[in-house]
Amino acid sequence: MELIENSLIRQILNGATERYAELVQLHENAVFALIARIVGSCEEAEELTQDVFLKAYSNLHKFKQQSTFSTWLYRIAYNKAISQTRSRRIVQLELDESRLIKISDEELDAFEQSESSNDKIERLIRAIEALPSEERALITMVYYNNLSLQKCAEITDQSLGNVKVKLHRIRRKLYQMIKSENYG
Amino acid sequence: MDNMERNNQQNKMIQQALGRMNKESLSPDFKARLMAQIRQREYNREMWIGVGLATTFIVFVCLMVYLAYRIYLSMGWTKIFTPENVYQLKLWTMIFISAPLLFIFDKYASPKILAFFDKIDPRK
Repeated sequence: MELIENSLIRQILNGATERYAELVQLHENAVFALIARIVGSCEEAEELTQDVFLKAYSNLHKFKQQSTFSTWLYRIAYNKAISQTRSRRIVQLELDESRLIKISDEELDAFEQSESSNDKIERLIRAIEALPSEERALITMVYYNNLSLQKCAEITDQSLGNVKVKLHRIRRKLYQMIKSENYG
Repeated sequence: MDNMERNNQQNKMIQQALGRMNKESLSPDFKARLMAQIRQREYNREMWIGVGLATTFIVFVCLMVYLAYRIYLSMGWTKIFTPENVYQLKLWTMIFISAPLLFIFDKYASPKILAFFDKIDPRK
C-alpha cells in the first residue's frame, strides 16, 4: 500500500495530475468518516473532505515521506475538522473529574453485562456526540478507522503515553455519561 | 473479566456506536468534482505562471532596449559595433535568450516529457 502510494505521489509530482484520483479513491471514505464524526454534519463533512484533499494536493511537494501518506492526510483532516468545530464555539459538557476517578473496573464490568446492547448503543451514541471534538476524533481514529495508537499520537501531535491516558479517560467518561444521562 | 476482555467488549460497543453515527457516505460525484477543481487550479496556476513569465520577458526586453538606447546616446552605434564588440553582443544575446528558455523547459516541458515516456514504458 505504502509503495503504491509513494509511486503515485512521484507520478503526480512529475505531472500526471489525473493519478491523484487514485489516491483520493484510497482514502476518501476514511477521511470523510473521521471528519463526519468530528463535525457531526455530513454536508459540512463533505465540504471539509474536499478542502482536505485540495490542501493535500497543493502541499504534496512538502510531503517528505517521514510518515505514511495516510498519517499525513489524517493529520490535515484532523486539524481542519477540529478548527472547524472550534470556530463554532460549542459549549462542551464538563464532567466532574472526581467522579471519573471513582469509577472502578468492577463497576464498568457490571454495566457492560447488565443492559440490552441496543439500548446501550443508543445511549453510547448520544454520549459520544456530547464529547468534545478532540475526544470524539481520538475514539473515532482508534475504534472506527482502526489506526494504531502510535499513528494517532502522530496525527494529534501528542506523545503515545498521552494518547493512552486520554483514551482511558474517554472510556470512563463515556461510562459516566451513559450512567448519569446528564449530557446533551 | 480481565482487562483485555473488557477492552475488547468496549471496543466492539464503541465501534458499533460509531458505525451507526452519520451513516451517510460521500456523494457519488465527489471525486469528479474534486478533480475538476484540481484541474481548474492547475490551469489557473499555469496561466498565472505564463503571464508572469511573459511580463518578465517584456520587462527584460524593454530594459535591454533602454540600455541600448543609453549606450547609443553616450557612444554612438559605430563605437558599439566594432568587430570585438559584435562577438560579445552575440554571446550575451544568446545567453539572455537561452537562459529563460532553458528554465521554462526544465520546469514545465521536461516533467511532461518524462511522464510521457514513463506512461509508454513497455516494462510497466
